Amino acid sequence: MYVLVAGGGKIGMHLIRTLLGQGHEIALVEQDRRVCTQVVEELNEVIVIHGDATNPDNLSRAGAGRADVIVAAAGRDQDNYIICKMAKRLFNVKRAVARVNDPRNEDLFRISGVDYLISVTSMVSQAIEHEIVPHAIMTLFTWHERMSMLEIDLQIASPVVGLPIRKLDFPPGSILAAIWRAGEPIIPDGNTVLQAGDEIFAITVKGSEDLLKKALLG
Amino acid sequence: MLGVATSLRDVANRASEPPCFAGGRPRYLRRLGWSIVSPAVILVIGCGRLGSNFAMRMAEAGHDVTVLDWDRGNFASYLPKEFPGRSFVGMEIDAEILRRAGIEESSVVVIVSRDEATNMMVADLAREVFAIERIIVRIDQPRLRTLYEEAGYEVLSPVLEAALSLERRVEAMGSR
Repeated sequence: MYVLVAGGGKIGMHLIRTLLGQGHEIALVEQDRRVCTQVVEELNEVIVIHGDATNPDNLSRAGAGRADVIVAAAGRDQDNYIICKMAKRLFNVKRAVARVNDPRNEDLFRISGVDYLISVTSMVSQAIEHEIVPHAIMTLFTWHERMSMLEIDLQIASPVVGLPIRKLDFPPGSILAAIWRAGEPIIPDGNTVLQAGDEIFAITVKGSEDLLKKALLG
Repeated sequence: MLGVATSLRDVANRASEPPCFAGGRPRYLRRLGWSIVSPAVILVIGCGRLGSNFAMRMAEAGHDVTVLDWDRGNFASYLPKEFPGRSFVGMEIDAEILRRAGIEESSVVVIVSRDEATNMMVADLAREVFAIERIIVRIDQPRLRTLYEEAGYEVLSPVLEAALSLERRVEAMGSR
């Protein structure tokens, strides 16, 4: 694939190294001349364009017209927003990935057609929540706002401990996909008995999360 | 439809029309006893030379004007001390800040900061999140201007307007 990366910060650079390792073709648009020089010296197979990625001429020079994916990894939300919008509307890039700092901006990114959001703030806050809230139920990821994968830690007090899965009063719109038990993955069936300390991975459609939480944690 | 009255007859004609406002000759109109046909609630985003100048004019004409800029220093640098409207410090691309600056009560949103990426994102926020219909957004980059015009936005390009004005003036000078 031909991947166009806008912004050579930590996220952008890590991504470039990973994608190069997987054999993809990479172009980088970066404003800082020192970063450009460093990339040219270190990774000479990357096409480097020195300039502002919010200027369509620079995206064009970097080959946006033939890019399969654009990754907007600049520091400011408004820059990533307009970079993705240009890529989609002016250059017909198939997939746009954007780094978002303010979670409140995520909806607007989705409305404008960004396919995938890298939300550093959301990831960090979810991790913190997971660490400090006992009985945690954590959303691992959400797909198009419609479907989520949840991780639920079963404590001894949970009403479902000791029950086989077929006896559970599972809400519609949810499925129990996997269990992590004592360092081993288990793909459960109806006869699998839940134990305290199980980490349960469940998939639910939007609106069923609370019912699932109630069913498993009481 | 947004309109600026250019003569007294315009103002008289518009008096019977549904809410719009006249702002073209504020001082002149006031002297003649013509005040505002119907004051508009205007949110100006970006308090640079252009935003502050426009905000001051509209406020002097009697409109209800709020200016938003993330840089407090811009108010001191560009907005006259006697500005009768409100000024609001905050990040423009934050929907919560826009709400607190009164975007929901605004009949017109004028987005004229020097940062084009900010202007474009704020324009989309105003339209998609707050359903504002009257938006004027400053964009100079020609391809982005076209993109936003095609999306139905009222776009202002100071560079283009100045160039057109220069063209007209030079042509008017003739080829002596």
